[in-house]
Amino acid sequence: MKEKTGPAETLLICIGNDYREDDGLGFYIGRHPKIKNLQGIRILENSGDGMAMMDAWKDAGMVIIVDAVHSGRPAGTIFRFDAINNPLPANIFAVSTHHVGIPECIALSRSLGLLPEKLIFYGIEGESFGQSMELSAIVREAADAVVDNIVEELGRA
Amino acid sequence: MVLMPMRSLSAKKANTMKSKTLKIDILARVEGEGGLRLKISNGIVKDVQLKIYEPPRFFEALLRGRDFREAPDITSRICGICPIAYQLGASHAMEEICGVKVEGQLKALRRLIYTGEWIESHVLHAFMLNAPDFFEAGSVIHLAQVYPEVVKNALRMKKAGNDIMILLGGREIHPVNLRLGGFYKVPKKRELRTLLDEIRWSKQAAVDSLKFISKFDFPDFNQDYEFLALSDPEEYAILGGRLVSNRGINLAINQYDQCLTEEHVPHSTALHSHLKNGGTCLLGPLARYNLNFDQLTPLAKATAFEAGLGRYCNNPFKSILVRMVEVIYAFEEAERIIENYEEPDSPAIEVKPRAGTGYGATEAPRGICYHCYTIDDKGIILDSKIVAPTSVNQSRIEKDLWDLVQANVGLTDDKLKFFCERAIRNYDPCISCSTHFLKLDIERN
Repeated sequence: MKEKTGPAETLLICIGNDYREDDGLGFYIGRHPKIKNLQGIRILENSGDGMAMMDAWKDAGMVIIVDAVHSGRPAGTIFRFDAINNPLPANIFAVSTHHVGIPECIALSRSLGLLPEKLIFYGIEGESFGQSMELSAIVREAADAVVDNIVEELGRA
Repeated sequence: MVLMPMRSLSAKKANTMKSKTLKIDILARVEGEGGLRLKISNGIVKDVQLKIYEPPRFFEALLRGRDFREAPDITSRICGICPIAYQLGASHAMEEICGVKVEGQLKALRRLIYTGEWIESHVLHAFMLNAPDFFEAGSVIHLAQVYPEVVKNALRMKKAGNDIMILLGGREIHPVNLRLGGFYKVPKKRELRTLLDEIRWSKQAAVDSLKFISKFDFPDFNQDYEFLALSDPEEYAILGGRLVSNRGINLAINQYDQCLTEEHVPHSTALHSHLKNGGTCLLGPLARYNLNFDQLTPLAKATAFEAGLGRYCNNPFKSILVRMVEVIYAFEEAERIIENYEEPDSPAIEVKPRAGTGYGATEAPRGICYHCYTIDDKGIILDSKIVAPTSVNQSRIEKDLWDLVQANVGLTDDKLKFFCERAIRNYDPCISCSTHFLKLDIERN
């Protein structure tokens, strides 16, 4: 996991892969100027290693995770879950193998008492996961909307 | 919540009246995508197919035409769990072609980052994937509810391995700081020593964890294996050595093709490797332990004996114990290397291309990972061959499953499916590597 800036109270974890089209939306959001201009937020980029995420969020106050999802809903659909109060639906994530995935890590953290005070998950339904560094237009539009949501949400926090 | 230990399944009298096919569509808690199909007729196992349907990734073809210096970074993408095995196997082969031998502190740093990979991989497998099999627990999440401190300690040990990878490799997955001849940048002595406190804590945690695991109820399933591992007279082999088996194989790495051969099988997108004599062999922790036991440290040996392991172990269900012995050893090695570290004059030896063919093999967490490359005088890769350890272990896994299913053919389909999945996890198969996950069909006919 690559640490970018700032204190640890509020954490934005951006998950994805730059080279697989819409799987790069997490990084797109984390690198957005509106996000980078936020004060007092630590931004982490993660390629999907949930256990590294657990270590990062265990001492945090508020954590927001952004990732591409694959649920069968229309591309660009935005999901928002309060992961402290509700388990994440596992069926929107790709099958995780050796790397323990996000729902499992949240459940494991819950068992171990290592959850942050607040944990919000934003997912965007991807359209295409081919080999390119470009987001599809519909997903980019949804990612911009999520950026605004995060800015507003952190402004309220 | 109370977790009940999983009792060992004993052999049942075969139900000779039933014939059917059972299938597991997706095997959980293994790396990659595959399935298992069992065909049973009148209580007799007729066929076992470990079906790997993860798409082949054609890495060997991808390498052709690329610069020889790119091979470590390209091949590391074969696997997120064992990238160092690919980076160093490729590096050794290229260095052999170019007449370069990496020794001294650079070699020690390579061994150090490899210990990080072993720790990460073994701890992840032992606690997150394999340990829940020994309880009526669906996953490590349930295990964590009953044994939170055990799981917390495992996470901390894994992080200590990650930290070695990050400090030396730049990041824990697909490190970017390794190159032909050494590293792009080597750490300062004081930087490496920041790892020592966690490594020393983790060494003791690994000893305690092995004692915890030793209380598990292990199925009685001993197999007659030909074990194959690298062997180095100087140390417990990780970075290289000779190909050695308990049945007489003793070959240089460049003679690999004399003992192992690959073939396509219809049910798998991964090539199957087997011994030239048609037999199967087993790579990985059990092979290393049995062939190189004497080179383990006194602490690793003593803890192994205390955990009930003998000098020799041929029960794959006990491989979880052997993995933790290797974790103890890896932490001790990491501590030793860091304590003796002196910054080298240069982070890498220059490697100039010359035409030729070279070979490299190292001990990935799952066993020997073999590389062979031919390059021209400009360093362009003309040919490549990479054999992941799971490719070699696949046929042995099928043989073991055959014996296991036959001995337990009277179990209900659900129990048999679970037992097969559990058995497959013993080998920590990395199906992504071998194709360059698991479905189970059982046909009772």
